[in-house]
Amino acid sequence: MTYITCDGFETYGDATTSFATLKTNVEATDDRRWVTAIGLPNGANIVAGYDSIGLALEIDDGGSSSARGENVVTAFGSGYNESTAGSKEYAVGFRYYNAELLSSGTVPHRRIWWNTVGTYSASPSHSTASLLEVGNDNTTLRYTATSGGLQTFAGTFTVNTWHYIECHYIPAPAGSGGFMKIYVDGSLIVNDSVNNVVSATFFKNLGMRIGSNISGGNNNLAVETPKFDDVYAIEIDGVTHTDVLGDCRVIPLAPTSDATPNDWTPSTGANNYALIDETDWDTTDYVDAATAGDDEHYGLDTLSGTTTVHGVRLDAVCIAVSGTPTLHIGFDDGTADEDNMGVIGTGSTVQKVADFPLDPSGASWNESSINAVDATQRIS
Amino acid sequence: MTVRTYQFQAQALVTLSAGSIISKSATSALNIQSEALPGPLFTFNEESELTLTSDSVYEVLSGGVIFIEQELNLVSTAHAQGYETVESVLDIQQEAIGQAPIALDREDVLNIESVATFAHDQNVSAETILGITQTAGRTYEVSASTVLAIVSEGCRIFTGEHDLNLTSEAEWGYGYDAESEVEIVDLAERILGLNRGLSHENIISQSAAYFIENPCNKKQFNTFDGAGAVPGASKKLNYSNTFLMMSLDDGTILELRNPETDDARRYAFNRVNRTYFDGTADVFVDDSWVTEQTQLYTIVALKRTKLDELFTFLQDNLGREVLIKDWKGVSWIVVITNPGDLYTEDGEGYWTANFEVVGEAVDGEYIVQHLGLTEDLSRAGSIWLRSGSSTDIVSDQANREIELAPSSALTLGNVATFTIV
Repeated sequence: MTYITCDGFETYGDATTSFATLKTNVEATDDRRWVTAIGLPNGANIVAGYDSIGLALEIDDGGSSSARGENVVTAFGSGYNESTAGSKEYAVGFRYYNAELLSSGTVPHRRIWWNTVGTYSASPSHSTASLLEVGNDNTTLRYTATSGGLQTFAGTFTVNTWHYIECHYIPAPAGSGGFMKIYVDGSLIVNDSVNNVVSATFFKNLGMRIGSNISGGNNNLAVETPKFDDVYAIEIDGVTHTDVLGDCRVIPLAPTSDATPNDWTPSTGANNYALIDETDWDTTDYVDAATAGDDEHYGLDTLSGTTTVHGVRLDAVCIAVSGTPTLHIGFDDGTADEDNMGVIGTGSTVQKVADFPLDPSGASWNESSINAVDATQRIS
Repeated sequence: MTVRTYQFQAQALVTLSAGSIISKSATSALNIQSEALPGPLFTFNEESELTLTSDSVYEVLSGGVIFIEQELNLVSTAHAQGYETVESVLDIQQEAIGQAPIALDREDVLNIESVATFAHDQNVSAETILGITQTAGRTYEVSASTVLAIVSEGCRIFTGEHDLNLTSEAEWGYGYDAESEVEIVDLAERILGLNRGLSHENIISQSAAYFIENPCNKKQFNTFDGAGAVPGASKKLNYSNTFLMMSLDDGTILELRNPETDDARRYAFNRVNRTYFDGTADVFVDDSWVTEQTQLYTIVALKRTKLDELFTFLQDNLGREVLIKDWKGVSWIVVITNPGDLYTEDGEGYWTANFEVVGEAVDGEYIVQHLGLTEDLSRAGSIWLRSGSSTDIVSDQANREIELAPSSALTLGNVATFTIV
């Protein structure tokens, strides 16, 4: 199976949402298993910055090595234990933006931080982890293997421009088919099949981490605020995925219309979809289902301007007011495709997430199929 | 059991097309107000030119998104006192350039108000030129709307008032011709290179009255001329008219001969005079009151036969509706309210009668209040054979040679440019 999980951060707030609220929203949901806002270091701050369609993570590193914003996003992190050496390929991508040149120095004082393998410590360094770094002149990409060697690759990051970074990885012993590939804006920058070290449990222990880092001892640097957005992670069982996905974005698709059936009861008004389409969810309006079999269909935002749709994720923030209902969420294009979210516990709000790498008919998603499909939720 | 959903949302992981834009709207609003207010009586120029260009160009690259916000607030004020020429030129260029691959709201709001105000007791020409180019562009399956709201107002606070009062009086002794000449040249000229309407209204009234009180009185020739917006409330005498009254009750018709110059019709209206306890007067007329016009007719030089006919007619039709066509050609439906109680014989065999009616003009009747430019001369009496002469020369010309007229020119261009790289 292919596991897709992605986030453009719009789920947790809008452009005015503070990091504290964002963090609370994230940690209040099951997204902790793959997106974790952790380790808010001394003095550093992470704020919800602006982006074209809503929200990005903006990290204020405080200009000090003691104020790091590393490991802001962790994918396949704590509690994830499905990895077997050499059996899966993982792909992680995100967008990166910096408004200013990074501080100069003989060592790369700042890094955009992508930790994929190695031994995590409270103060990670390039000698113990695989990192993608932005060098001191902001034009050099550095990739560090666990052997400690610092490899430099040509590349340019342009100030005030979003860059797409995409990493593919198969954890396997050196020479046994494992590799690390890094793409920047669709160009292959790193293709390393030698220095990777097997760590079948690294996902379990560490996952993939994204953030900003200042080398230890380098203080009093100018404060910089790199931004991250459109983080995604794909797990591909038994498939060697050699192609770059390209410049990927995570596009939120909110309900925009009621389809048939509409068995659920709106808290107010007659438009069910309007009660659950908020970006920053709240409890002021909602839809209820009290009878087993109550089914609810919605039309979604129209998607356009894409070449490939790699998958769709569905989120539902819900609560069991009474009893022990089971929630099913999915899509319906004439053929229903639901994921069973299990029994919803009474009295606590939860976020249920289901990934759909294929449309209900079993074909790859595309704009037409997304724009024609209904999103569904049903109880049993 | 009940399950409650607060939020339901999908997220699609997609690869964008090059230069693609995801559904977001772009709006552009341009509000402009240009106002020129010159004061009266000018001798020098005030010129204000305001040229604005606001361009927002968005290039779509394969890279990321930059949020663009552009605000432009301008206040340009020029004050002058004295006889200096004031010139204020304000050139503004506003430009916002963004490179973005996907959806981004773009909004460019430009609010401009240009006001040129000049109040001075000298000749001032106020000119405001406002040229604006606004560009907002966006393509590829997005809704783009441009709202262009413009208020261009050019007004001129200038009260033009021209009063011309002339009195020409000639007095002379017996046996000589009386001659009075009035020459009037009223010239208003306007020459402009613009499509301006030119309106000139010249109303001149002149009347000459010649009246002999008795053989011992000298001949008098009074010339009256009035000009301006209010025409004289009289009309030339027209000898083709007679004074005709017809009873609408029994059809009796009374026709009097051509009127004498002293035949008069006077109007009265109702009003309320009250005095408050503090002694202040309160005089008012309510518009809602019925608009009846009380007319007092004075007919002079009636011979006894016509006087008897008139008296009989008035008595017979007292309180009844009567159709009157007066000597000015206006027809009235009236009620005789006072047939007159005392008639006087001013000369031997010539009587003066007064009566009073209340009524309104027949619908559609035009109560002539304007005088033509025809000169009239009437003469009464048969003893004095001296000629009466009245010369009336009127030249009416409308011109204007002042090129400092207030003008307001507003040029707008709207260009949409969008480049996808």
